[in-house]
Amino acid sequence: MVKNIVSYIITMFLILFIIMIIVLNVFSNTILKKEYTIANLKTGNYYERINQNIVDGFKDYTVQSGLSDEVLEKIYSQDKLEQDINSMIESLYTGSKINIDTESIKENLLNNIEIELEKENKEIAQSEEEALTNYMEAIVEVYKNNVLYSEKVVEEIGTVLNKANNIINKAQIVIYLIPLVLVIILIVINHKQLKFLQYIGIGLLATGLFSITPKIISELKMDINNIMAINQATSNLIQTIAQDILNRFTVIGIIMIVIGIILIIIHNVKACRILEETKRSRH
Amino acid sequence: MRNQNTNILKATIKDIIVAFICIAIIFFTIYIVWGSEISLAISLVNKISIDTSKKVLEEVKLNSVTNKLESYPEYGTKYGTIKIDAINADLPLYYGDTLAILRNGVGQFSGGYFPGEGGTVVCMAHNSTKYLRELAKVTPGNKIIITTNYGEFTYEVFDTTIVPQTEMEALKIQNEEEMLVLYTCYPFNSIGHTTSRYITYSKLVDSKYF
Repeated sequence: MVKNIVSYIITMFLILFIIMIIVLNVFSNTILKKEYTIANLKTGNYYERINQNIVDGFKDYTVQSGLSDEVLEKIYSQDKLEQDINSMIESLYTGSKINIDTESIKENLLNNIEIELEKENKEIAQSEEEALTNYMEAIVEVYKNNVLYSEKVVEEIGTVLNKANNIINKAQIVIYLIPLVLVIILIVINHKQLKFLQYIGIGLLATGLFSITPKIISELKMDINNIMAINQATSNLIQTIAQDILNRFTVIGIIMIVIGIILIIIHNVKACRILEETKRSRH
Repeated sequence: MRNQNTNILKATIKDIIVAFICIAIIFFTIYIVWGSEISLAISLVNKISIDTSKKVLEEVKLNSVTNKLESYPEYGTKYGTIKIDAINADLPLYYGDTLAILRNGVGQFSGGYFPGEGGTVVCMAHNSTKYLRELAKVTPGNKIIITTNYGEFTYEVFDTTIVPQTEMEALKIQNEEEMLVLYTCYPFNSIGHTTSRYITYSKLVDSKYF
């Protein structure tokens, strides 16, 4: 009786630690990994969509500027945009300083404007110089705001990600070691009739049930597929990553449930057979 | 053999129930310790979720007794047209005034009133040749007609002015008499980002309700 109670208590702790291992693994391989985020940017066409947002934003200012859309041609390249976005991602994960060069954009824009004015035989009056400077600043701001919504927000998110990574790095050894010890204890005190399989099976089954719960809650109570943040491209990125994380928990959960039930059945088959043999030998 | 299988099944079901009990205990503990934080997180996610597929666009109707719209157009949608014969302009009218909206036509400031509500209707558009480049040619006495799905409203221009873009008082938002404030960027032919606005003021002179 006491052995049973102790085993169940150990199983409860085992469940908690396996849940921690799953959470640690899922997050370490997804949102806490820079390469994962960049891969999602590529597969979700994030760069192209941000580029379209920038082009639309440029046109909003150009339409009221007296200049044609031709002044916007080739003021930045797709490669530069990707580099700048990746530098923002780098800053999120490593805390490095974000360095977005906007001087080249201004220079190219000014060149294009001068070419257009020469072509149209127009000259800029002294009173228009400030308006022109304001226009170029507005164009640069559109580019910067689409690449980097807010330096402060990026810093804050970066701090959270770095903290999470530090905690995981420090806690990893403990979180992997303790369940191993618990399993060994279970095996030692329940080695007869493979009874330890029952407890480990119950532990895995319970962990599996816990793992599939976030997906169920998100389907019933949360509207993840319609999250809107900053712009459509960023919203889709967040939705994709969130769904991927939930799906990983679900897959792991299903695997745990299946393995748990199998271990329980193996133990029960063994236990029932031994019981039958004992009954026969008594008769 | 059958007996044995039944015993195995019973034992397995018992163990599955135990697993459910274990997880129920864990959920209960999580609920006690972090229940409010989890509820807050869920409500925050739902707050930033906008399901645009479910919206049913209602027909805009004016209550002729109260002079208020019974339902408003969705922000960003086209709900009428604005016609200015003096400059051959017949432009789509949108509710809202973001740059994205102004790309497509005349925008209506959400801080003003709707045509027919008896207050100041504030509209704006770019000073491009496509929209209001020739607004300066609209003089006192000229008519501006706003047509919506709930009525047609005719305004007569009585004044024009040029103000810095920051001068919000120039919009004359009030609800004692219906007027139309229509503005665009100024100077018209300048290069660059303009910081002044050319404004026309018009009074409601006729209205027809559908």
